Amino acid sequence: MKKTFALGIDLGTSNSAIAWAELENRESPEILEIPQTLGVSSLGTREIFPSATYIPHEAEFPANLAQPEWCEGKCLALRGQFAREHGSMVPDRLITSAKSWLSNPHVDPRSSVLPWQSELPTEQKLSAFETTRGYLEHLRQSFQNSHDATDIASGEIVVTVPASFDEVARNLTADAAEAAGLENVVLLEEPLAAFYAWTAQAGSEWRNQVKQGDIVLVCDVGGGTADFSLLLISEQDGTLEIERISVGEHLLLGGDNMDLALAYTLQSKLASEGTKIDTWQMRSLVQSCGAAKVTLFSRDDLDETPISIPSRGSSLFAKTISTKLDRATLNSVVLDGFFSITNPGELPKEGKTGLHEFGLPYASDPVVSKHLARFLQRSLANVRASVALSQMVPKPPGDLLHPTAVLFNGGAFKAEAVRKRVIELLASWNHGVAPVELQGFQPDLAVARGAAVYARNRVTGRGLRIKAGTSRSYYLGLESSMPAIPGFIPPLKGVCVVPQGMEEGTEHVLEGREFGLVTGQEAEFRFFSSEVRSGDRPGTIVENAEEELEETASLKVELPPLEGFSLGDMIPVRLHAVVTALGNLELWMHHTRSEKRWQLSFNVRTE
Amino acid sequence: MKKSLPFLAIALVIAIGVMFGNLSPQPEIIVKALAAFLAVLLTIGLFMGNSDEKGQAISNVREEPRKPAHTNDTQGSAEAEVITFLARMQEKGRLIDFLMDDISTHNDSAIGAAARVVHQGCSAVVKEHLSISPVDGGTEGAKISVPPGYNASLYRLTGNLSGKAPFNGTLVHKGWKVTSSKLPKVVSPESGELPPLAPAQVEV
Repeated sequence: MKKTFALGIDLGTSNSAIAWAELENRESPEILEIPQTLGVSSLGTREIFPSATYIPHEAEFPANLAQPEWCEGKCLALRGQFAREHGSMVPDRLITSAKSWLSNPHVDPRSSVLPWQSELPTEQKLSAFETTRGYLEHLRQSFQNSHDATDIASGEIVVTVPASFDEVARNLTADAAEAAGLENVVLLEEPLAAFYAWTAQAGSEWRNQVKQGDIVLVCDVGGGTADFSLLLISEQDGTLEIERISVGEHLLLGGDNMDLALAYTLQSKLASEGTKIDTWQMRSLVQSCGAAKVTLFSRDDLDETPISIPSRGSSLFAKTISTKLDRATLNSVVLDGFFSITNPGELPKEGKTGLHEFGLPYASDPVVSKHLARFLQRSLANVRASVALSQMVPKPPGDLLHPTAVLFNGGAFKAEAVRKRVIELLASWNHGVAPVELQGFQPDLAVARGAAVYARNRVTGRGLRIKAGTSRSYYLGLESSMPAIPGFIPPLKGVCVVPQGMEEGTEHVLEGREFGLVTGQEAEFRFFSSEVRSGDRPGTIVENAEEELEETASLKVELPPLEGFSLGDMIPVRLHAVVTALGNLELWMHHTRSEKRWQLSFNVRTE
Repeated sequence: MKKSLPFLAIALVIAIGVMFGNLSPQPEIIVKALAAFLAVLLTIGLFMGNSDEKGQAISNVREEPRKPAHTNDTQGSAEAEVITFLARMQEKGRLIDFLMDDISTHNDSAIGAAARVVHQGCSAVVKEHLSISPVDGGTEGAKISVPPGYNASLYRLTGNLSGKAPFNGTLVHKGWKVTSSKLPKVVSPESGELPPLAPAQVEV
């Protein structure tokens, strides 16, 4: 179908947004208003759609609860602002961070386990997949609500995902979009979307802000997650080209942690003065700390901001508690707590994962600086692993790659003091040489806009395209053939089937390696990935997959009974890896002597 | 339907006062005055009748086929709209608690603390639903000239008024106007009764 418009969907961990653009209009894309329940009897629209799902009790709300029109009063779950606000007081029925559950390696995203550890009966719970589908459906309906004459299928739709998402999480996102009525969506990494938004906003000016050889750090710290990527700027025949050379790990650490930390600090100060606050007041304190943080960071003339904490009862004058957030506390908690000037060798403390309950793998070390150091260390390892990348990036002294420019994204960087601190930190790691802060930072909604810009560029074929490809390399696990020795389990080898940077619309055949598949039987392979092995080509063997790679999923394929073969016959096949035009990874087993082929399906590893 | 405007106007006056009242220097006095003023306004407003076209624009959101039971109940739903807006101010900024509490028995620091709650919450609600800007961009206290053909609803001339425009005078109050609004749609209660300003809360 001919594409007539571009739609960008920022499917965020805490907040989502949509932007749309006409193809011939080079303006910055327009953010759409999203209808959502604001209160029991009021329905409004907002540009920001909180990614929160509330599963109400049957008797909880009146029958004519305000819901978006398309619900026709039948939506079982509430989504958006009211869901989050009300749900924070009824946590057993609230689902948040569904996106992080999509990439959780320990819990099957298609099993109905959310809200996590809730006492709701299983049939009322939702899976991470279904929750995500619900958000995407809500966003699709919102678009159609304001463009009811437009066929959604004539839109080029880009959905953003964290750069840290592996193929399993990406495929789940694409499947959820399809189940929500959004077909053939293209996935885009969030930091890249932020960069597209920046280029669109800066116009042709952006080319003056970067130069050949620059390494741009896209530093995105949102409400609940942090995401880093590195882009390399090169020049080809006089035009600047951009390549994404490294992505970070999924990090559950963001601005919400900072508000919480401030609130706990004030809470203990109040407690030491003999004032106790309850959980409801604590929620209000967290919100007020967030607001006070913004005020203090944006107003140099203030030394402190008073904070009032009301009680839950109706008596406002008698029971409101007064406290204040002062600049010293703010700086010590936020700047020195989360963005302290650490040594380049200080890396995050690993949590004791063995003792942790399964749940979301929240970062156990809150210091963003240490996570950034770890990312830059891994980035350097990744660059050194490939000859081509090593030639383009000069070897720095020390263990870290040093970005020469930084593009900030996310609410945590609204405060200039925080941006300054990150620049200062990077300079301290590079003998005082500070990277340039790219100008034109848009803290909110950049990702949705950038997604729409990318969608528009894809259709028109004009404008910037960042060379990205797969962010990781992927491996099949192979049992080593060794003589059996008692008490010794031979290491599992990994054979590279998809190299890092494999671009959309390309495919590889794994040459020189045939597999035998038995008809009528399910074959299963272990599947691994790595973010730091840019040099591996298809066929490269990694001697100890379990140690050097991350296990991502299992791959399954079942051959139906085949004409000309009897059941149980072994069929020789070769592995083809395909990155589709939409950027999805598909793995196929091709019969070596015919055109027949079977697709391998990703299954989430659950322990 | 046409009853909705005065209610809304009151809600706005309250909102604007709350939003732009400068609480930094001497919160207590300002807040006390503000509270009393608001209470009076609310009372007057409740007994005011008015007719205005704008009420229609605000309430036509109920002309939805999916809620046929409520489409004819225009009077009830116009009131429901205002009450819902006040309910948002209560939910976010405890406005009704503020007005209903006995202000005479509390000292200024307690009232000042409460006023911050109202200011933070209500200004958020107002900013979410309305874009507000001054009518006149001049500085209060400065001389201005009101040109011929000025919009009489946006400028109120007082003092010694004679002759023809332009009128030269001092800008006493810069005025406020709504440049765009994005008010929530309201679902009327099924029984025709008005929605609550705040439901009773029970922790189970």
